[in-house]
Amino acid sequence: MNAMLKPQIDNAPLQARGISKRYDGRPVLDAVDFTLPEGAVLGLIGRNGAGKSTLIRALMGLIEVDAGSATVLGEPALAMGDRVKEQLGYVPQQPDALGWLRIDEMFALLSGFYPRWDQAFVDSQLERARLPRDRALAKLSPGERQQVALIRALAVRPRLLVLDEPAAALDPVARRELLREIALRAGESGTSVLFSTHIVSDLERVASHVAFLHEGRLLLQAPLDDLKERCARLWLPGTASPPRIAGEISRRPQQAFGGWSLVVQQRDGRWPVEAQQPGARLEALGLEDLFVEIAE
Amino acid sequence: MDASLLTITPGAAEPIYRQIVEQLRRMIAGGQLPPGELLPSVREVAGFHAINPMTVSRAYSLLEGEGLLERLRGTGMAVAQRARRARSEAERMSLLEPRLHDLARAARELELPAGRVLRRLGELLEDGE
Amino acid sequence: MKALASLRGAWLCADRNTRWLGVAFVGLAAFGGVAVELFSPHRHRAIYAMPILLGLGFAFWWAFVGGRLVLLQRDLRESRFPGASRFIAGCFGLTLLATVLLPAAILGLGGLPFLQVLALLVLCAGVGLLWAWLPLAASMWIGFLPLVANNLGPALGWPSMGDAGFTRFAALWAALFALTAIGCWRWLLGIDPARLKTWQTPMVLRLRCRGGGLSGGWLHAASLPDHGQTWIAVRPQANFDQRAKPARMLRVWLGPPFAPLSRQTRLRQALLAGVAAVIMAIAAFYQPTHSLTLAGIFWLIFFGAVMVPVMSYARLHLLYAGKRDSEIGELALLPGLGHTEQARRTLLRATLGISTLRVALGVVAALPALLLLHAARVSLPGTLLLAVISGLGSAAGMLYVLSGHSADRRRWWHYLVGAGGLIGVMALLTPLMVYAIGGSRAQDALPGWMLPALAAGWALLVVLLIATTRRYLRLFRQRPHPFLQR
Repeated sequence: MNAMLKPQIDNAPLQARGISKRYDGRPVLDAVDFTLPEGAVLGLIGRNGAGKSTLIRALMGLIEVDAGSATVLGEPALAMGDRVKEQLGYVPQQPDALGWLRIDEMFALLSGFYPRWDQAFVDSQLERARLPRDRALAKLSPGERQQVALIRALAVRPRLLVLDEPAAALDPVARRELLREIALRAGESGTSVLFSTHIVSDLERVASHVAFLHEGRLLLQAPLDDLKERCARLWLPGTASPPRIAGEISRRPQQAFGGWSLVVQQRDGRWPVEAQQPGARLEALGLEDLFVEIAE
Repeated sequence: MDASLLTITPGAAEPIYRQIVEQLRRMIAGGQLPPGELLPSVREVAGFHAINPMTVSRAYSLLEGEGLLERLRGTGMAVAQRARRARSEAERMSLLEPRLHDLARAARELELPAGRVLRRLGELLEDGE
Repeated sequence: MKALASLRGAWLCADRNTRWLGVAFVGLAAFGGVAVELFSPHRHRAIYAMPILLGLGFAFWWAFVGGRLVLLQRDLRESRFPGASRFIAGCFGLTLLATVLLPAAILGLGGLPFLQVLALLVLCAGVGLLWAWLPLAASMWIGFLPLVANNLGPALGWPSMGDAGFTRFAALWAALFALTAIGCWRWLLGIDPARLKTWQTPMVLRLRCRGGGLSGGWLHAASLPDHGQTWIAVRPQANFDQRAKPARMLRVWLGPPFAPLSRQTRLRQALLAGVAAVIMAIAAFYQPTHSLTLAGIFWLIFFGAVMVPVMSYARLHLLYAGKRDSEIGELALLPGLGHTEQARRTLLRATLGISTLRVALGVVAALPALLLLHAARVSLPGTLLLAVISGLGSAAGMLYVLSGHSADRRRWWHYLVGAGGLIGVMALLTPLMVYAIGGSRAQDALPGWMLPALAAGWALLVVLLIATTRRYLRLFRQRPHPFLQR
């Protein structure tokens, strides 16, 4: 009781310190520090195999990590109590649980576990998505299955919503609906959202924050607007590799241009001085370009 | 005003809140949004474009801070009474400035003579009338 | 070059585990044939043990490896692979060469009647193929086929191997099976599996439910939940208070073989068991000492005692170590299972508790049949011992998964230990059955040191299983929570 009355300042819904995980000797996550601020919609972005799913599963306490720790709504991820689990909505990458149950049976089975279960929402969403209640889950297409899983996660009225590649199997209409739902939930119920994706345009619509995961390391984690305003592509002429620049994030040679392109960050509101060199050029960068520049 | 009047390009390098700010500024300065005109609620804009409501409220707050919008008790946001349409030409010109910079750079990159570009721009401006 | 490709196709059309299991099975059959020939008191009949046992081994191969050629052909046709039919025919021909023609020729050179052996092996190949193509529930009955044939045979005046009319007789049946197999093959090529009900789906098509392609092992297929929705006991209702019975709820979540069964399914299973018992009783009554009666009983007990732990292991392994994060991940985040220790206890009740209960119920249900078969001298203590082994084996296997060890691929050698244990059980089981059923005559035929050695073997196995169970129970208790995945 006391804990609930205390102001929760540094109690981010999701927090991780130094998470490392190896599979069969291969490192998948390498000392990842991660914070999901309260009320944020954070898009976790990375190439296939970058470790997004592993990070999410480690944050949720579904797997044991080799080093580091994570907390979910203030409790250790590996020892969450019912109070935390009741406020948690999670959709795995391929939700294929309980395939032998019918849609309505699955919801009936689950509704008993969640005190804030929103059956009206379930009914309206099933209606809208035209999902037949008496169909076995296993007989649904992957997209339909994902929709059911999303309805299930939202029906909990979660304080924290975690979605692993939620849009991958959805058609454009369902995807837009999902984004709208995520956006409005975040705005109105103060739900904090973490979702992973490699579809950048989804992320750009709804995300307030963005995190780049590349080869098991978190390269960037920032509010999306800041990232767009403070990151730019810097073109530098000359074939020799330019000296390291303050605020540089990545670099690669550009043969066609006969020089180098770098992704640079503003420091104290200023662009690096190298941008004033003769022949240098600064260019605004969309998130997709940024992603490609960093991940390549 | 309707939420559909705003154009959102999520993939642009310009953050979405800036896109909203710029568009509203132009519409207010240009008189399409007269003082007292009610703006769509944050929820409407966010729902229509499937964008984060915080982005919309950030844009609104920014414009409120500039005095272009004012918060009405109970009914939401409206164009401020003080936000007169016809401000000085210099002011309106400054709103066009970033786009002119873009245009100038593109023309330079294409190595087009300034006279030709200006002539074409003139044609386009006259066509619009 | 083409022959090499076909050879590769014939070998690679099943997953690695199944292939090697098939090789082991054939090897075991050959070994058994040699053993019978060396040690059997009836030398003039014993020479036929080799082709018969080899035939059983090859039938297994056809059922679990050769039968999958049809899956390969479906895939190749779907991807519009050029020359698919010719390639498959090559694979098929090579398998036929290796399992029928070659062994028949070798055994023929060894002095057996070539044509009789050939006809028998073709018959076995046909039975194997049909085995693969029967629905899963029906396929286990194939194990009774030799027994049924053996009991019906004398009554219908069928010739047995070595008789003059056997070649013609076996050729006739072989032709019948071959024709049916060809018909089935064509049907399987054209059918859309999605439109079949689960109970209609041939075993071979279920092999690819999950994982797709040719990767799914047959144990996984067998442990997949039935979507026919008849087996589940509680259709969850609105307002159904799941929190009141967490263990039962957990069993629904884990799926078969842990899930609570509906009355319908229980009835069906009891009916199947009843039919099996009746067949066994008739066989035991008419031919109590015949080797095929023994084989039938062996088969039944093998299925009951060995398959139960293997199936529960396979299902849990699929849940905990599979690449998907479905059921276990959801359970980890589901509120209402209580704190970690409570959840751990509930999980143990839903898995170990249920399997132990099932074994105990099986023994109780089999007791009348066992007493009835007492005339045939089926050993009661032996059966009880087997039940204990089965229960302990299930517990050890499941705790191995629950403690997170089955997910670790670097511990592949654990599988060797497990397979060794299984072979050990079978090795220990066979003489026991001989003792149990063969009566005093068989006991005289076996050497005197066998009984103490057997007792020592069983005791060692029990001790080992208890030690393993305790070890993995401790490791399971040390995990942060019971629903951790790889």
